[in-house]
Amino acid sequence: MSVTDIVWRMTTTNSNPPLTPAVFHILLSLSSGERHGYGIMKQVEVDSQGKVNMGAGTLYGSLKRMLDAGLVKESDKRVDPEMDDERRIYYRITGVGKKALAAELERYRHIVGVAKKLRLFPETFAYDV
Amino acid sequence: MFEQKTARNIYKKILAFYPQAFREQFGESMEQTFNDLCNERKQQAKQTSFGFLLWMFIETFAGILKEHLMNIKRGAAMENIITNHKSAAIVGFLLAMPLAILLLIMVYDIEPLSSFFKALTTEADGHRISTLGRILEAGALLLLPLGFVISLVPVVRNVRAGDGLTANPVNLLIAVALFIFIATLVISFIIDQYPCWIGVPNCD
Repeated sequence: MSVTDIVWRMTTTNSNPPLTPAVFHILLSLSSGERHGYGIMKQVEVDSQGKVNMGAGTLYGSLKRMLDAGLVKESDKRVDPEMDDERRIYYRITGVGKKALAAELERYRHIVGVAKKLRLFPETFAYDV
Repeated sequence: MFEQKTARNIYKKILAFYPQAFREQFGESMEQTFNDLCNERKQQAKQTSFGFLLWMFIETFAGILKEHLMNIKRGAAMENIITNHKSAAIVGFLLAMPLAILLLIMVYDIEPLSSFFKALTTEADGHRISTLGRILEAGALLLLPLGFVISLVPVVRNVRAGDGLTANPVNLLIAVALFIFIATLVISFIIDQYPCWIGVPNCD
């Protein structure tokens, strides 16, 4: 086991457990600014190049758990100038949320590193199945 | 193609199935988001297709199920039953129902249910109670005091808070009815078994 592996294990233990795909995408979408529910959905669609379509049930269920865990916070209700004149609740990422997102991105970076070390690339046999 | 107003009304009704706390926190936002998605499809000249609505409804139903399961997992459902007097009344009533129905069927010999339950709960000789019968009997008997306690909790809390005995009349009514029901069963049992206790020969 290399030193980087040990450091990685020490920094990514239980304080930041792996995130579910929905929570990860929501945090990622909020990392660039406050958004309301529909705004989060659209940003997730853009970030995932249309590969992740999140429904309202998944979105608000995840938001509830994220609010409970302190990963996100509700902002004031306000009107979105690009939409109708209905007032909407906006959500913003918290410091805890930023740390959780950073830890998840670090996990991804590590996994990509392992894949590179094993010379697993999209064109290798592992992806031909 | 579906009329958007109809779709929105159906969605609003589906949202009512979420646990109360969740609905109060996110119901309005979920409705707004659904409307936004419908408007988006309208602007893109896409029809509000059956497929889109079906996906939205199924996805929301899955969310509803998940929230209820999570509530049960962390014991919030029981907490809701104890703190909400309406839930307590409904649960207390529902818990007493199986035995009440069973007794009605057996006492008034309502066919074909009576024969069905007799076959299910007695041995082949038709007299002795089978193991399944004893399990059903014990389960139904345990539900009665449980229903009584659950419906009585809000009444006791009101009395302690100084709100009076009749602050939740429905709960009080169900608790009294269940108490009378339990008392009748206990007294009937004592009257039935008393001869055996005092040593009367050939009693069963």
